Amino acid sequence: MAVLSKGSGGNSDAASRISRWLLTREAGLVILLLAVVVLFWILEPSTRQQRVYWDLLREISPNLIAAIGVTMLMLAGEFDLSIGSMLAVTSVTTVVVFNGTDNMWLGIIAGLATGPIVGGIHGYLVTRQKMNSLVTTLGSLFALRGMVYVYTNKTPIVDENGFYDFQDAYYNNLGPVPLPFVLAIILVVLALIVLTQTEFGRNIYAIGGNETAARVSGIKVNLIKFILFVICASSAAISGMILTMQTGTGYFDSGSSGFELIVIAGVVLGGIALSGGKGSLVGTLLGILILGMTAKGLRLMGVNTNMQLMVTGSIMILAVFMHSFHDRISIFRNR
Amino acid sequence: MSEQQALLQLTGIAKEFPGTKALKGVDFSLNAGEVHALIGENGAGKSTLIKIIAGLYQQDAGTIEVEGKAVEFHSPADSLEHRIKVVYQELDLVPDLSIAENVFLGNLPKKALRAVDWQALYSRTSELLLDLGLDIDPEVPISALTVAQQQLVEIARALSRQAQIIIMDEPTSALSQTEIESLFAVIRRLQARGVGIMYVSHKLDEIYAIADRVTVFRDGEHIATEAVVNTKHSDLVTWMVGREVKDLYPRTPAKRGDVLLEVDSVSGGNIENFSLNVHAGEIVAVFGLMGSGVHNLGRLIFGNMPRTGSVRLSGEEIHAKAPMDAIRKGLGFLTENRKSDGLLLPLSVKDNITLVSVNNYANLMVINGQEERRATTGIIDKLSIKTPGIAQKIRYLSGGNQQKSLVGRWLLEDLKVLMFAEPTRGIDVGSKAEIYRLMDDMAHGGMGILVLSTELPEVMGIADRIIVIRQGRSAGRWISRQEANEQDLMTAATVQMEKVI
Ligand SMILES: Nc1ncnc2c1ncn2[C@@H]1O[C@H](COP(=O)(O)OP(=O)(O)OP(=O)(O)O)[C@@H](O)[C@H]1O
Ligand SMILES: [Mg+2]
Repeated sequence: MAVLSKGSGGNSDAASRISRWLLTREAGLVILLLAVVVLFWILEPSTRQQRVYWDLLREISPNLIAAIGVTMLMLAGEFDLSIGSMLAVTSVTTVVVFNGTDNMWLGIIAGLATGPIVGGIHGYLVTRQKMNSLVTTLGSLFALRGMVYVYTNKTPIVDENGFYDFQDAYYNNLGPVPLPFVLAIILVVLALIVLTQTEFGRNIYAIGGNETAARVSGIKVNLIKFILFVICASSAAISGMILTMQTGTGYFDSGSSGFELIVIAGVVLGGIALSGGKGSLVGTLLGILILGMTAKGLRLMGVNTNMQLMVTGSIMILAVFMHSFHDRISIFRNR
Repeated sequence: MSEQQALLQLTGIAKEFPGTKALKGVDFSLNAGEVHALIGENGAGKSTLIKIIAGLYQQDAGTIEVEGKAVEFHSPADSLEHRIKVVYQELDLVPDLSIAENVFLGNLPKKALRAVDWQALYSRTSELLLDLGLDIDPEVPISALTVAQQQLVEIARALSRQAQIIIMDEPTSALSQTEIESLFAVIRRLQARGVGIMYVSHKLDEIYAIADRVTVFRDGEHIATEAVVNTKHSDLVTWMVGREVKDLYPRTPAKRGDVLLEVDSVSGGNIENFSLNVHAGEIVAVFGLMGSGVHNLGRLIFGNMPRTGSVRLSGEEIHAKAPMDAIRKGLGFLTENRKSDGLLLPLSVKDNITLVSVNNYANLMVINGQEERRATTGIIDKLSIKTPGIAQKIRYLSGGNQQKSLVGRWLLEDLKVLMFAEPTRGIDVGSKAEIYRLMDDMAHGGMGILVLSTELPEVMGIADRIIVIRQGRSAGRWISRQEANEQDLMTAATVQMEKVI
């Protein structure tokens, strides 16, 4: 009676494996990404240089790193809207400590420490006080930004020591690969292993799939969510650190132009369900690349920002359409 | 009968999902004033047929006729138009809206300028509810109702649209005996008015109680349609399963070992000072009516609901409020609310089955996929779970196969005591026997089993000892199945309840 298809075993040939892959969510995104690249290749000659793509990878690294935390949190069915403000908190903290201690490492440590602190507060409020994460982090989006404004009086804080090693890290390469992107990819791979190969990762999907079921199955739902809030704010802090390297200043408006929305847009474009439990980090990577490439291509073409908004929005809707189409045709899970 | 024009006639209906032929050209007909039961194993295609009639799915082949006229249903609205109303396996009411708004959902009575006529809404709802024997304020939100009351609201909704065909998909799976009786009374009244009723259930006794004709599906095929009076219970089972099910309750005496689970004056919710213990090799059943606290007892013991009193497993105290402590010490719990407390709908069959046991396949935190797949396949075979593959999303399995997967979840974990709330709810006869056999095996293997059930035959069939719970308190204990009889158990469970209802 049990009708188990052999398909999920190992005895399928390459052709069928490829055709099965073509049905996955990720395949659709890869095709969309290639389409965007080819389109700009045709329309805008300057995108035919290799350099453009290395720059692209450097530029999207902060988004990608923040997206890791957002993805993990959203898979468990929770949100963090405050990541844009986190960038400024990290940035300002880092440079203030630079100037106060004249020590680069202390500044970096202090800047990064803002992540677990803010994330821990979110985690506490959501898991212990049973507050809604969307509203809580919307609150801290404003509160954190306000704190930074009050503290800096809206003036950028200049790195008085001029830690060039710090600033160079942003522009340096490992071979041809920009250093920030190397870091981003290492973090993506680590998170991917955690999500797909460990019990912790499995539990994240379970919580997003049905929290009560996860709880009565002995999963420590609150602890895991707490950790995810910490991871999310920490990944935003790392992004903030990279942006600080780029400018060498503690900037009060870092991330204020809708950073959180761009990152969440990339994550959703990558196929993470708002309700949790569904999607993959590979999708997120592709989603961020697609949005990044579109923005860069349009900028190189000199398209005005209104037009950019329109095109980016349309691509998002196309991707979401693809996902819902995929949900309808596919019977096999893919993460 | 044969000359009469059928109210609903389905001919050669076929439907295929990726990986599954759910229906392979089936026929079904329904006459006015008739109750026609549809039965079949889990995954036989019953719910799929219903969804086609409801306009939720379109058939790949075959025709639908209503009162002799061919119709095509492209959406639920088309089906409603022909005065067909489905009461689904999973109720589809809006919990935060009032009863009245739910009854007239999509069909609210209006005054001038399309403003809602609240007065008419409430008075008409009251009338409909009274007609169904439900004396309740129509302004109350749905979320405040019991499942049985919600079911009646669904039926009121059907009446509000003057439905001539009402379809019920496993309507009694969460109802108490008295509630079932009153549902049947409603069905008989509808029948007398000429409404045709299609009735899907796994409880064969109900077929004899209420249906005129019965149709059996197996694996998407039509096996038989007969007048109920002409069929024996064993015929129905054989048609459904394709073979005889000789021994539904294969309980054999096992060696009673040391005490494993000790529940000592536990209170919480509507439960007061409940004590029991389960020994190795024993199947103990707690029997109670819906609302007696029989299911909450499981939650209290497991720590999923705050409690006072003590629970010990092999002498070790299990913390209140911490299911994971219970599991780590060797206590498992299958809840009765499978959909809301059990299923991870967006995830695969495999992930659902291995949810609890996944740590068993992990070395140094990394999961060994091969071992996990092997374990899953083992469960799928053992419980005959019908799925095109282990990677299929569980939401696409039939209701009964989802249930089986959740049973399987606990079979993979190495436990001392397993608590089953309604172990066979929504599960077909053949698989029921299989699950009872597994329980028997587990008891022989030295485990203790605690069954929390509202199904009397089940309790009588498998338990070594029986405890009756009534209004949260112990209302009788039987030290062996042989000493108990249905009459006594039922009396113990119901006396005094009557005034409450
Ligand atoms: N949306 C869907 N996508 C894929 N397969 C489906 C879908 N709906 C149903 N199926 C498959 O079709 C078959 C018939 O399912 P159906 O729900 O009709 O069974 P059923 O007779 O109602 O069983 P049960 O008694 O368990 O409720 C099953 O094998 C099921 O897995
Ligand atoms: Mg069904």
